[in-house]
Amino acid sequence: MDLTTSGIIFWIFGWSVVIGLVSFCFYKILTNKRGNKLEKNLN
Amino acid sequence: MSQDNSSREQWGSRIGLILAVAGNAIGLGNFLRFPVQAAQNGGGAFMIPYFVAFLLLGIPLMWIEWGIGRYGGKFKHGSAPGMFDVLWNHKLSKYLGATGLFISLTIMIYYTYIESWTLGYSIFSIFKMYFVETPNFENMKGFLHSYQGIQQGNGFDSIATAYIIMLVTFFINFFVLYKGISAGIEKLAKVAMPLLFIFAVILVVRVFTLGTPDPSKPEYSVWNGFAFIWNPDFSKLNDPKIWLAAAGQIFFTLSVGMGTIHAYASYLKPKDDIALSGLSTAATNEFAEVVLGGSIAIPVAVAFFGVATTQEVAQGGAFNLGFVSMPIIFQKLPLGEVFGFLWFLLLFFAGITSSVAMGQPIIAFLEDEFGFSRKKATIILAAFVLICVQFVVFFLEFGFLDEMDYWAGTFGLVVFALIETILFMWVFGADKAFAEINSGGDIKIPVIFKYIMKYVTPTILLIIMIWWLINDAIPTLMMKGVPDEKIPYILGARFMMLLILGLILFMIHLAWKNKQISKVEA
Repeated sequence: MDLTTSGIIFWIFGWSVVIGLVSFCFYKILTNKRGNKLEKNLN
Repeated sequence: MSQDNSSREQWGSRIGLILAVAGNAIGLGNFLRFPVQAAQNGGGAFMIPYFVAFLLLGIPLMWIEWGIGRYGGKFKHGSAPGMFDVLWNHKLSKYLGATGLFISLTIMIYYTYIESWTLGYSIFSIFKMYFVETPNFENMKGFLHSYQGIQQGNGFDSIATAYIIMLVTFFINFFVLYKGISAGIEKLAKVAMPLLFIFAVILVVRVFTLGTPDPSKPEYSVWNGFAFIWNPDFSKLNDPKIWLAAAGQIFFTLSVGMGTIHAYASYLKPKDDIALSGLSTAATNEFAEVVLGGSIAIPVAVAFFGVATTQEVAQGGAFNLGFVSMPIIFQKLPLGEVFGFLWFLLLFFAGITSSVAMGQPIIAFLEDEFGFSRKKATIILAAFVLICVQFVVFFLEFGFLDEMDYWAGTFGLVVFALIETILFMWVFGADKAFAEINSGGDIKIPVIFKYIMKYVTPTILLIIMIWWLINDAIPTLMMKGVPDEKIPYILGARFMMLLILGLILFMIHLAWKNKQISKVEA
């Protein structure tokens, strides 16, 4: 059983979706005004 | 009813909260169940139904549970009975919440015992206790069974070692729960989760650099292992079982339908974000599953045993892969004792961050509805779990654990998820529910998810429930194919579960009765 081209494509697809989503979430958290704090600063 | 949540405990930081909820989700299944499911259900093609289920079932349920949890927390409710009571003003609603307490408590009883095996095996690895001259499936099964007290002489003469390690695991779990949300659960997550990721990355790097361990067998290679997981078999996409398997995997992996996420989210303040935090925990879990979990056990098994044997191992289940095959591999690897130690400690961290989450709903129930101190609530829970686990430990070979796992850890989850989705999206109202989830959010959830949560998610849950009911639940209930000698133990497990459920229902009744009396007196 050799790794086929479609296997590589799905491997890249699976990893890209997950790594992309994690990167998006933590980018949003780290660049948000609230940062690592929980309650929104209402002032 | 009060909307002042300030007297309750609070999370210390956002990352701590995300790591704790991700820790709840990341369990043994990420590293043992997912690769087996992917390899058995179409390889790379499995990722299509898997991501569809993630989008239509996983993420919506995550947001629903965070939403119900934070909303319940406003009214000082940290468990499902109180939360359902504020969602639906009906005398029955709180009793529906008993499902959430029953599931988390029942799973905790047996899960903590399984978790203790991983702690034990990490110690056995570093001291090479299961290392033998010619490691094979036979002697590794023997070692596991002697450890579990099922048979003697293949490493252990009695169950004493397993029992002591179980007690140690229990002590760690209840110590963390006793310390509380920020000082206990959050601190544990902040230490255990980064270590889990570091250990997993070390193991993945080792797997990638393994190549072909035996040059005389070139087909036994890591790359063929990745081919086994990722080469797509598109013909399988026509089979509805594959779509159900993917939905089931998403369901289990995110630890939804247990009442644990609600409990954690109840310690948030009303304006705290849940939209981005909920998505982040789901994403972190997926990273641990697809990227790390898919790159360790199955590829390395193919590299040492070949595809055909790995298929047999996979069909033998997750325990077979984790506790029988992996120890053989560690004995064949240079520095295998170190990699074995990292592997089992990784599983222990994955387990403990999940098991403490299972204890939290009951503790919150006792604190919030009975006014108990955290110390008192923890002691009561610890004593109860310790009594119940005796049956799991000593009747393991008779299917006691499997019976509990089926009704609470499999079928129960989908029942509870369906109840909560209907209550939140239909009874409480989709508009109000969607506004609640978006309130204080750092991202704006696309409005299409309101309709997905209202129509699509419950429909998928209903299909899964009916499918499982017909294919698994009824044969399991009728004990089809169960040997005669196991039947009394299976019935015993059912009796214990009914007793747990009855006790929870009685306590809910008592708590609300006490509240009514207090109201009249006031």
